[in-house]
Amino acid sequence: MFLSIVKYFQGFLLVRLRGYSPERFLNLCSNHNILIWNLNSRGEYYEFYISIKGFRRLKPLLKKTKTHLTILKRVGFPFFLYRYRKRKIFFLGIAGCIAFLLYLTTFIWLIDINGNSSITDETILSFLEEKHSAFGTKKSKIDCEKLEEDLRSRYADVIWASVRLNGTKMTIDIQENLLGSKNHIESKEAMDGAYDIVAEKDAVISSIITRKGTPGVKAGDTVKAGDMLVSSRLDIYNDSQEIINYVYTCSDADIYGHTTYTYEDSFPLEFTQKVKTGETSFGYELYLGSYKITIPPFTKPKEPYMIYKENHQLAIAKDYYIPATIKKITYSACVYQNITLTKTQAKQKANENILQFLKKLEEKGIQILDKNVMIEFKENRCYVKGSINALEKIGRYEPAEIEKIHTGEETKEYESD
Amino acid sequence: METLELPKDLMYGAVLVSITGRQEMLVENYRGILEYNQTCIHLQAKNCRLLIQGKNLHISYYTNEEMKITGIIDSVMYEN
Repeated sequence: MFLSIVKYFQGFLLVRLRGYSPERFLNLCSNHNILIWNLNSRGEYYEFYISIKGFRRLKPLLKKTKTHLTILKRVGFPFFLYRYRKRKIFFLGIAGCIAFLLYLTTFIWLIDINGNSSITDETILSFLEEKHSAFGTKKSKIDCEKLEEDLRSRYADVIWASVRLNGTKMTIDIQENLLGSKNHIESKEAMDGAYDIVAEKDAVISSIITRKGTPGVKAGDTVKAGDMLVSSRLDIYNDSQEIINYVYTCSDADIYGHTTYTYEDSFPLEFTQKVKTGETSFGYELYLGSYKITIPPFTKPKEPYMIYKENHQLAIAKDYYIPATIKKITYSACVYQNITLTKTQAKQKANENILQFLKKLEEKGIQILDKNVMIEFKENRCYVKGSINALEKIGRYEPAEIEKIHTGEETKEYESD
Repeated sequence: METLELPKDLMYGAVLVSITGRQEMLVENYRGILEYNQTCIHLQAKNCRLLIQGKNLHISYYTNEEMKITGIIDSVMYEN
């Protein structure tokens, strides 16, 4: 393979050899180190391939052996160039195109953001713009490590960030703090503040394990949102069981409580829905930078229809994206259809909705203990009501109010210190 | 000569022939081509001549040191 590419670029010829003693000529060639390949005998004459370089050295040998050569075919790049010698602009165009593509690959044309859930893609994109590292920036101007650091310092929720450049693609991977405010406080702990833990919502405490602070409730207690659960104040008693001082700390505890969620949902039993008929037509939009070319569908879609758009960014190689996007627009013809749900269908739909609701709760780290759901049919609507008993962490950190007691004794002690 | 353990093709200038199946043949250490057509190839080596007979004989390439012959080989004969 490699050898044939080299041969192509050097150029070679298919020649026909006639004469009195062709064998002698062939021996002379090998003695002069002239490479000949694909030698074929065709009765009266021989045919073989020879490189341009070798062909130029053949003249004295031909004279010596009294043989004649006819060129049958010219193959290779030098002949290609010769044939198109008058089309200089064409070659210039090819070279210019390659150079332009190479130049384009020094920019960022695609930004891929992974791992963000609370911070939106738009927020990160505008952050990048602010840092002059947005779409279309020269790659050499981007400092990945600096960007990572800035991302972490700007957004407290980002606990890990990685910025990579592959080709013309910038990949941003971030890890967000999904555990909520708890860890948020943990970083504040180092700042040595005083924090109480208060109830986030109404609940019945199921278990409380206090590591730091004074617990104000015990298992089985009913608390309301905002009630103090663990106080950051530690009372210091003297020998006669009198409070002489308060010490404030950042309280730390695991508090679980039983909470109740009410669930309400209703939907009509009769409704109209768009249903696809299966007829589709396609249109295309080509974006070159901010320039847009629209190719409308061949057959005009019938009203009503659903539109489905698909974006494809063009790439010249894997990860080498260029600022051109093709948008494929699918028009699916549809008809309006009246749908009446039977009771079993309605129940099924209600069930699906509930499961989705429960799934969302579980994603927040809430444990579902049991659920009571009632389904009622009234005036052509389906009403779903229910309560869900759950077990979850209910603590929330709040800065403590610091109060000091000034007993005579205490001030004395300080004076003596 | 035996004690030196030198390759014999180097010392005697002997011809080296390797044949793959019936289709392919590689000849090294030859001097020149005496005759070549589709049914026979006559080669000159240092001490002997080599006659290869067959059908559709075709020389893929040849250089000063080696040559490759493809085609259907019927016989390889040594002559003095």
